[in-house]
Amino acid sequence: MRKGKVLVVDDEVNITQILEFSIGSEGYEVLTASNGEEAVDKARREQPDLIILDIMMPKIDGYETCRILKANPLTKNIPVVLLTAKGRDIDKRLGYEVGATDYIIKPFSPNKLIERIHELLVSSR
Amino acid sequence: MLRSGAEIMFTGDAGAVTYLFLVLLISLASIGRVSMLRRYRQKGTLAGVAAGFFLLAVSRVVLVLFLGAGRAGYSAAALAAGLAGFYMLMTSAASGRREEDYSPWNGRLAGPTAISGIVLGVSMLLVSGGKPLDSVAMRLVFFFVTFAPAGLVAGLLMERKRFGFRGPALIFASAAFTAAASVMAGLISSGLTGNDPFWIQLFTLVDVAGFFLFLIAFVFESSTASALPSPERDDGPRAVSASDMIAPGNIPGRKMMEISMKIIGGEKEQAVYKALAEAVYGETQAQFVLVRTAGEMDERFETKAWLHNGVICPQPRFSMKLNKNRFSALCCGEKAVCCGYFLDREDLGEDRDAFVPEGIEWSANGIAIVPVMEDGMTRGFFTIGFFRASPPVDLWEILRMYSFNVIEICARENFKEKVRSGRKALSACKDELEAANQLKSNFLSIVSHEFRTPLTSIKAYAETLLDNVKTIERDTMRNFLTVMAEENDRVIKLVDNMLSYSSMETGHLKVEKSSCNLGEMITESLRELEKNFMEKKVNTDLRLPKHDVVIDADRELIRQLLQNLISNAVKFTPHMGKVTVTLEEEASAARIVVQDTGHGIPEDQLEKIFERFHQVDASDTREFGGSGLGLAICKNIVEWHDGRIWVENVKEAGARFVVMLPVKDIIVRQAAAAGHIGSVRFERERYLSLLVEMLSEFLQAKKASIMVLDREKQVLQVIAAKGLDPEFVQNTNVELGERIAGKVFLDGESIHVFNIEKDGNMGRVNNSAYYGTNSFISSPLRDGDTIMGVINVSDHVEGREFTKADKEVLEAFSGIISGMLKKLEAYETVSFNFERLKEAMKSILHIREGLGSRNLVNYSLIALAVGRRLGLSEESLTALRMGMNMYDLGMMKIPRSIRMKKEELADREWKKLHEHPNLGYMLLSPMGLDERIMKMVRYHHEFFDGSGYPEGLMREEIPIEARIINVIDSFRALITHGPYRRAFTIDEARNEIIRNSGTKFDPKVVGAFVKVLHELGAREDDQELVLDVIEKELEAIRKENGNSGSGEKNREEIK
Repeated sequence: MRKGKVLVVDDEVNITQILEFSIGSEGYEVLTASNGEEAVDKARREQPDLIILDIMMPKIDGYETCRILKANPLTKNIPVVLLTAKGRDIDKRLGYEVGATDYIIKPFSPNKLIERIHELLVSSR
Repeated sequence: MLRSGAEIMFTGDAGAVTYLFLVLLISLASIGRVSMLRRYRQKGTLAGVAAGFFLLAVSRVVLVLFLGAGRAGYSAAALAAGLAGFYMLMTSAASGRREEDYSPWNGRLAGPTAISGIVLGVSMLLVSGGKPLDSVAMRLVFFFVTFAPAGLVAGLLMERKRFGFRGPALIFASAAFTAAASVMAGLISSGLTGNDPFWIQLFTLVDVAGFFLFLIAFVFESSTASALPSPERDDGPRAVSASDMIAPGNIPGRKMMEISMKIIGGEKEQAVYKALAEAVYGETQAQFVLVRTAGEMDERFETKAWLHNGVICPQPRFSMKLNKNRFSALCCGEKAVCCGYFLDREDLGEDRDAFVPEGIEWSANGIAIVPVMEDGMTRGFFTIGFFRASPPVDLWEILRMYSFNVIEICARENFKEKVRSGRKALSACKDELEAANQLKSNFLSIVSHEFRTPLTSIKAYAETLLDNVKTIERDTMRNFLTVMAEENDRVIKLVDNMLSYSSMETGHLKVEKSSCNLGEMITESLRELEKNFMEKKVNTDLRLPKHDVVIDADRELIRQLLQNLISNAVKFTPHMGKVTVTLEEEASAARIVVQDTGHGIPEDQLEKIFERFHQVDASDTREFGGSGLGLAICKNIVEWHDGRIWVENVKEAGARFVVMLPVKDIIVRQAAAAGHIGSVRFERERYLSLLVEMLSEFLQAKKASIMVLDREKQVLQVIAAKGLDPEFVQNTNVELGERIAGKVFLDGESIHVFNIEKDGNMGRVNNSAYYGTNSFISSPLRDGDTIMGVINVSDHVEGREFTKADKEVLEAFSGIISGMLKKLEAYETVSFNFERLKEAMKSILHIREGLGSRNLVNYSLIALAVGRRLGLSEESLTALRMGMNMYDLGMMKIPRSIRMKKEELADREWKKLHEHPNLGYMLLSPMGLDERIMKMVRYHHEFFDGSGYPEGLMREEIPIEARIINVIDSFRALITHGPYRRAFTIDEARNEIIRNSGTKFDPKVVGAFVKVLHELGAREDDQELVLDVIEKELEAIRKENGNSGSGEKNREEIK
């Protein structure tokens, strides 16, 4: 039963680990990346159905990664959920501007995240 | 009774001789008076009169001898005309001015007076048919009418210049003069009859006129002399009454008030000085007026107004600079006139170019200088000179009055400046506050992120666990719980950090000191952080000294410090890099160096990184994590332990954090006096420890102590010591005359034991404090003539014996320590600025760290050798020795970014750098050091040709000690690596110094320096200067001791 492929991008190993577990236990296939470059690369090759992207990462941050993804025809249609500790309105707006579909603030509830993932994947189908 | 001069003359008997004698007598008396007047710079008004008389007499002798009575009439008339001209000429020659410039006796007043008198006389003579002198009564009327105008003029003059006669008094004075002149004329002409020839009568008139002139001149001049202030008299400011001030005739008072009003009314400084100069010009008849002032801190006078021939000119140029010292040397008591000085060309010598601007021709007259004094300080001075006409005799009073204006305007400008700088400080304060606010925002956003990350993990893991509590595998669960525990620790650590930081900031931190073995603690910290190293595959290199380095400190804080520093180093070191931790012990401090191989720290950030919430680059936050508090906490911890922390970039790559922690084996005796509680006691202890630290640091001694006489018990007590047993410090009372300290105290002589084991006498001087000591020096602590205690040092850090040079340093130091102890006493009664004093002392210690103690000793020895060669006095040499230790203190106040900048400095930065001599001077000022030392600090960057800073002094204006330091310091700078050039070899450096001899450096000093360098056998060893001075000296003492059995010399000293 293949529900869909989700790419989780975060430089904190703890976060990718727990998301891999909780999203995975819902039946999704979970890929992980620990920085922007890796994320862009994996997204192109693996064509995930959804990308969960952290913003504050070294070198290329989440906004930049999102912009690169949206600029590439291969990856531009993959919905991106920004997952971040940056909770100010301006951060959110910036997120939508670069093409993010949704914006979730840390600390987050894994259950709510999974609900959101369900919704997004159903609606995109 | 006198007979007519003419009659006597032409009768050719003994009377003629009498007449000539009289005339000569008058002339000589006049010359005498003139020479006296010259002393007061009121040049020869009478000289002309005297010369006129003298020539008159000579001319008549010539008449008698060569022309005979017959033809004399014609010749005499011609001669009289010539004489009149000559008379005028002589008076002007005597005063050195053009005719019309000179005294009222010439041209303007004397001429018309005399002519009108003579014309009147002659016309009356003609009207009366050549026989006006028949009766005595007629004669009196005749002369009265003749001399009335002259009398009137004399009276007027007296009114204006001297006595302030007005109204009836004036009429009376004029009448009295006229009457006196008439009576005298009558007496002179008493032998004359109307039958005498016309020319005889004419000559009589000329005689009478001459006497009359002389009379007025005499009265005028004598009153001038008494009105002229004499050097002995200093009658202070003249009392000026209210009516004087408002009287329309009293121009100086009114002008002064007008200027005062301008000052109060807020007129611009320039305009006020302009008005002032114009007023002075108008009052004094000077060709130029110059107003110059100098602030308290300035060494030089600045021109405020410059008025030449009545026109305000732009800033004048002087071919020589005038500084305060030179000014006071020139304007000394000798040249004083009342409240000012009168100087002529000869008095000034070469310095005249410092007083009179370029392009102004010197006239034969001198210049008058009136200093503006306030609180005994010279705030400025007036220079006026080259008078166009006779200056008013109350010149000095006038100028002194205007000097109040100068004080007023200076005070106003000073106040304005203070307000300005206050405003600047306020706006800086505001900027700082804004920056702090910005910092706070940054902090909040960084901290909130720092908290969110672990909290996010905890929440996510906990929730996932809850959801899957039944299905989850045991291993996964363990794994999840481990993550949660770790993340939880992260939050706790963060909170701890913040709390300890804020408690340190607010001063609520409780420091619990115990002895800490630094080597052990560093090893421990490295072990604790092993995980961090493993993760990043970073290597460690630990370098510890062979012996234990123990400091007195708060274990927990030091642990925090080490962990922060090391984990920080790991954080900034890339994968596979290396972190080196080094521990070294110095004379009074432990040095911990943590070096990484990261990408270093931008030069402009070197100081900032210790600020709160500062991270070099915001994007680094995520890569390395951290709240930006770590280094700020480190800095606080180090400062709480009286240490110092800084960071520098390593050449190849990476940063090096250096921590200096004082080795706390300093003990301060608890003060017996009650009332030393809380902060006062704390301050006292800190202060005394600093003193002992300075003592041990300067002498490089492991043990040092300060003993002071307890006046009640008459025993010596240790008040502070380093390296001694606390028990001993607390309880020792040395009776006067006993033990070494007691003997030193009574004899007032230092005792220097070169090597205790070889000294046979030491058994008798049993002193447990020096157990294990092999070399020591004790010196009396002098306060003027009385001895207040003893200072001791023992055990050189390098394990060598103390040399004679060390003894001299200690003796020089005793003066500083006694001065500082006195300040402490003062502090215990009156509050005084302790912080500044401590700052000065700390800076002295820190500047030594930068230069290296051993190097400093070497350079001091070179400086001393140069000083000796130049024949400096012992006091000078002592000061030089001390000065060498602190001359560059001001550099501590210059930001690192400027000091260590690799590129050429910008103008603004140069300017800042050039402030360092003054900054050092200010830093040291609370210590009350010898004036010589202070001058060395302030003037060690002055160049011989005046191109140095901060004052641009030149040649002998720069104290000799500062000139020596200048050469030594340049030499030191040349042979060490600079920020943007390689080090010179010793030969290159020497040649560079020689090349600048005469421009930057005093050739005399350079000569001595080159010789000294040669003598000392300076050689180069691995880029460092090696001198054998210490070794040589030690060798010499060893030899001496060996020859004289076992320390004969020392034994004598001890006896």
